[in-house]
Amino acid sequence: MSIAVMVWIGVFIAAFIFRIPIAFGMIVSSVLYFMIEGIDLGVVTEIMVFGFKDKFVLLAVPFFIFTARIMNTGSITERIFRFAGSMVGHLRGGLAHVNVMASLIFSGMTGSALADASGLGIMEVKAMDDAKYDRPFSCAVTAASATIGPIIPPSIPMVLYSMVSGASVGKLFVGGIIPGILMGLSMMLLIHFISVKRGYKRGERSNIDTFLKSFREAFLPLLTPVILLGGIYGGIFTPTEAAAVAALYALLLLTVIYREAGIKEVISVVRDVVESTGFLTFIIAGAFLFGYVVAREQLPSRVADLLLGITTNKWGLLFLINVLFLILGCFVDTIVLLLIAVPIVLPVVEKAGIDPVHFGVIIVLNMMIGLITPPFGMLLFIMNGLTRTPLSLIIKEILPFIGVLIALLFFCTYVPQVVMFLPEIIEGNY
Amino acid sequence: MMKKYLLRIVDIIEEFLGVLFFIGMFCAVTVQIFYRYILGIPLIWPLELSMFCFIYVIYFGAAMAARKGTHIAFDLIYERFSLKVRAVISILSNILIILILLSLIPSSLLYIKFIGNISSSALGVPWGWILLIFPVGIIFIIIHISIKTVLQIKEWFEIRMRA
Repeated sequence: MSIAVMVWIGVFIAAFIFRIPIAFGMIVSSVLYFMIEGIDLGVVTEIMVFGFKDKFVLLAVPFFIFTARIMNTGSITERIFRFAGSMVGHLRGGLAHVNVMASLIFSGMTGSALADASGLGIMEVKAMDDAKYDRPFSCAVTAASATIGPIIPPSIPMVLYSMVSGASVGKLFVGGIIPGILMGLSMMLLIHFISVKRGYKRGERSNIDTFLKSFREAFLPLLTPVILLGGIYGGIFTPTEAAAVAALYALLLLTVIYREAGIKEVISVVRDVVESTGFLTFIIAGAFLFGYVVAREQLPSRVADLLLGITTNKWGLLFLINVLFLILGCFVDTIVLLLIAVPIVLPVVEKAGIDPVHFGVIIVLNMMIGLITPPFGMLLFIMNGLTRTPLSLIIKEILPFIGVLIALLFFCTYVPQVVMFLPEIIEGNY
Repeated sequence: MMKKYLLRIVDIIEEFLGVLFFIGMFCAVTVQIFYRYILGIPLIWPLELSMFCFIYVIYFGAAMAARKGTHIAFDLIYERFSLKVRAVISILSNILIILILLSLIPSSLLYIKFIGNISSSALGVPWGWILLIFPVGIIFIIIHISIKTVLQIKEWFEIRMRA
């Protein structure tokens, strides 16, 4: 290993330990590598600006963030929550089911697990508090169900995966639908068992009138996924355009139809969105730079040799990669895994003949599990921050959910049809 | 006093322009959709305009996040250090970031001078105008991190004086 590589890796790890923001860690370590190797630093500007030039699909990211914020600003989240309540509130452990159902619906409109937990989450935990559920259980259900967000389209992680792999966003999106629904159903099954064991009560069954009323109230927001997916799969819009149309639609709902916000509130939402876009895309810019070094050092082919040395069997490799990412996911943030680790293993995946769409969906699912696995699970921190519930209690309650999700991950891995069924159908229609 | 005004100006510029370019990006994509699907006229320039706006949003947004300290970091190990150690680590790592970012500026300007006159294909805008956001954004970020570091160092000395 050359000195430059040692400095590059060493500084990056040190940056991690010393709480240097991830984007800066990647930039500092890569620039030091450039200096030692004598590469002109002008290249940094080129990579970090021109790297974005032909990545139009990335424009969908700020639009997805904007849509989620707009929905959390007005009453849209509340409407969805009430609608979910009228559907499954009467089951045993009613509100926990409502929690999962609301996340399932909401995930058809937003592409980020964190947006789901921080908007819908507060409302869900409060409602479960009022109904005397154990707080740590409420937090666990909220965090676990938030992981559905990026599996069901739209999805920010899948947009990023498409950027690094070249796989079609449209196919990735549609590939997540069945696994996402299965996630919801398996969580509801788990909730049922827990509710029976702990004697959680049934909620009131809503009559047809209240059901219709809540459906009417939620009807317009429920059209968002229809516009998004219909637009993309009808061949009308590119994903970026669909994201912009959905954002425009959400904006119209909030300001014109429901009249819940004026220009001032919208500007303040935009300011937040610019900041969120900033830290997210700045990591991407850093990853472009970091990726340049990764490619220059031919890390992917070295890792490929290493992994293929263990097994060349497609299913064995998938097992290996899944386990590796589950372990990494306990410690490393999703976006870092997606932008650094995924491109490193992609050549192996391709060599082994694994479909990039299938791999994309399972690796995103894998990383979503990473959001709720201790010690470093962003969703755990968010629930802890929002509700002041001790982390250790939330972790104890979330373990069964992690178990169910891991089982589902391997199911989707070894029964590819679960993921590939819908993408193959739309492929025929394109 | 003067310094405070200067900082306020930096804040206003990055927030105002960040919001403005976001709106520009949104409008450009909307215009493109409108022309292509409703009028049946495909345009190329909105595509390019939206991308330029996006690149500006990235760097103004990154500067805003640097001001508010919202850049994503891993703090599980860091939290275990004592307050004193944390202060030292934070000050030293900020200084390292500032130095590295500073080192990028001269070469960035040179690069822009070298390639900046080439025009983009649809709008005919010289690339220099787009590339310029990189050194500008980096300078904004350096300003925010420097202020934080100066405050930290001041605090550090106050603690030591008291001890």
